[in-house]
Amino acid sequence: MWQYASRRLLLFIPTLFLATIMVFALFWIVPGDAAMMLLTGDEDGTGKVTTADIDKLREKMGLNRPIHIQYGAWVWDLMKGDMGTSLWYKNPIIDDLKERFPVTIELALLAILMAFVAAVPLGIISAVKQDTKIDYASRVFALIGIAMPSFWIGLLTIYALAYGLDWLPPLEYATITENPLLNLEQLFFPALALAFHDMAFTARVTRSAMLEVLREDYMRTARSKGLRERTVILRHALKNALLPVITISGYQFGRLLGGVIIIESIFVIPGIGLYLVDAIIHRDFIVLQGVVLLAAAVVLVLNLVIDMLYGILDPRIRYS
Amino acid sequence: MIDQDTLGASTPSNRGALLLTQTVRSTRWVVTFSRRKPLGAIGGIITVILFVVAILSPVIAPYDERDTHGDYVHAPPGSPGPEARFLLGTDALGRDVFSRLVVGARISLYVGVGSVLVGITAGFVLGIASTYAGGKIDMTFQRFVDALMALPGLIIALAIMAVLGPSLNNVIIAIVIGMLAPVVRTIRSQVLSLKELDYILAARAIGASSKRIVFWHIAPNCFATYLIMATYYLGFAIIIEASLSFLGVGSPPDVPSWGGMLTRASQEHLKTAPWVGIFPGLAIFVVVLGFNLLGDALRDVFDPKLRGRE
Repeated sequence: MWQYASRRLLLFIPTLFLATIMVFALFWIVPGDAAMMLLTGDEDGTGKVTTADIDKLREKMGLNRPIHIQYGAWVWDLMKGDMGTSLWYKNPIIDDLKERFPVTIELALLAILMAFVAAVPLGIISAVKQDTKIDYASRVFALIGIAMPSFWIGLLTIYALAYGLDWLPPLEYATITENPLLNLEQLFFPALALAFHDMAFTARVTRSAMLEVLREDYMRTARSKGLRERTVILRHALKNALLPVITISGYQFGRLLGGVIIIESIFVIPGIGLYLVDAIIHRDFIVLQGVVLLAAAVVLVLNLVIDMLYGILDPRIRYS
Repeated sequence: MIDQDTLGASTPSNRGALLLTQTVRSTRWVVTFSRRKPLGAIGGIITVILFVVAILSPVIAPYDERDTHGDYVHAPPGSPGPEARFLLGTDALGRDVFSRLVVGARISLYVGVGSVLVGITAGFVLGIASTYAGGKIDMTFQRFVDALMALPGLIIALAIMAVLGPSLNNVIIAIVIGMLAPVVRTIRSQVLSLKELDYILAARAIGASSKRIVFWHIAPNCFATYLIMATYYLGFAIIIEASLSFLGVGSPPDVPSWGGMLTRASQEHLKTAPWVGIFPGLAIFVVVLGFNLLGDALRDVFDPKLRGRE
């Protein structure tokens, strides 16, 4: 296990390092640099600023240094927990993220929970009744969820709430510690809209994992022992099928993050997604850089944790 | 006997007959496919309709998609207009939603087909090249793919659009980079499994060069994977384009993209003019569903190993 864990960890470090290079390079190719943008508000420089002003700010921000020095300084600051100061909000980015990250995580976890509660039974039924009408119906249902763009689901949800129920989620955001009930009231429908997409995917994975397990020899053994069908499916099959479902869902967390951005901006939830969208509108590239890197880091760490857990739960993987 | 057939094919009368048999054969394939995979056939029909609408959009659209009709703001679906009925109503500027949707099909398809052609072809070439180079090159390249994989598709596309600025071709670049890593991974695993097969060993044994093996033995056998991925990623590209335009960084504002039609403006009037928000979303949904249904069916047909999975 130690050998496997260290091998996996050794892969993680260079990958994270490469991710920082990619994120840095992406914003380095921006036409016009941060100093110019900060002063002109537009990259083609239509505002009234002199080159001297820009040069002065460049000097202050360290943008006139060679590129590898800039990268080094950026990574060094990152390691000290300093992600720079937002161009638009004028706050240290790390402070904003500390405030907003828990909101996003809560929304994502709530959505994952909802998706699982709906998707796992759907996937089981679909697999047990393979190629029947129920199976077809649930597969089409899953495909519908995948094909619906999350912003449209969000819009329809708002429409249904406003028009059908004459109710809108409360506008002032309350954190879970301040007012748990109000917090849940606000996050319930956004999470539901988010879960719909994820549910479709999880149901498909559950179905295929169940189908694979149902073909195993030990399923026949369980049945021939005279166990009830329900016990066979829930205790023997599901237990083994659920592991790959949870891992694959974990790997899909990045995709969920994409949906979070859209749902947060529709429902105006002050998480990372709304932060990112606002940063794009105000061309705040320093925030953008920070959020993109944070997303990559979250995905990489999550993948590492999943692989470690998998190594513990399924010893076969350690030797492959 | 087979030789006679192929030899005879050069005479003009036989060439016609050959063409006919080929047409009959492909028609028969389509009929069998539709009978075995009814859902896939529905997906195929949706795809064909989308292509026809996109190509014929100037003919189908009753109005110019940019024409504003001041007297007809938020006209409900089916209400009479100055020239033709507003089939799906008008938006906040009095523009015909139906015409905008029809022209939008062209935009979606341009972005979808563009990113799939560039993205999957690039992923194909990179995947095969990396696997065939093997050793340290493959190892290093795959770490880059790992890092790129960690960046969620929509987030990387958003960041790239923020950097490049809104334009249709920039959207294609953003989508291509967003889809590259998973495509390279899929092709790589396909090539790795093909490499182990006996016929590759046989080709090598009779002295075929690496180049020959890659071009004539490996690449053609990845074609089914290419086709299946192309269908799925068409849907992916259309959703990402719509999401980017929805967030205001995708297509330029004057382009009637399906996602762009759903931006803030349509949200504000959701209660008074829901058709402005509902129809573009419906169009995206139906088209993406069509691609997914077709992709699933194609995968079942071309890839027997995966039959019954997912």
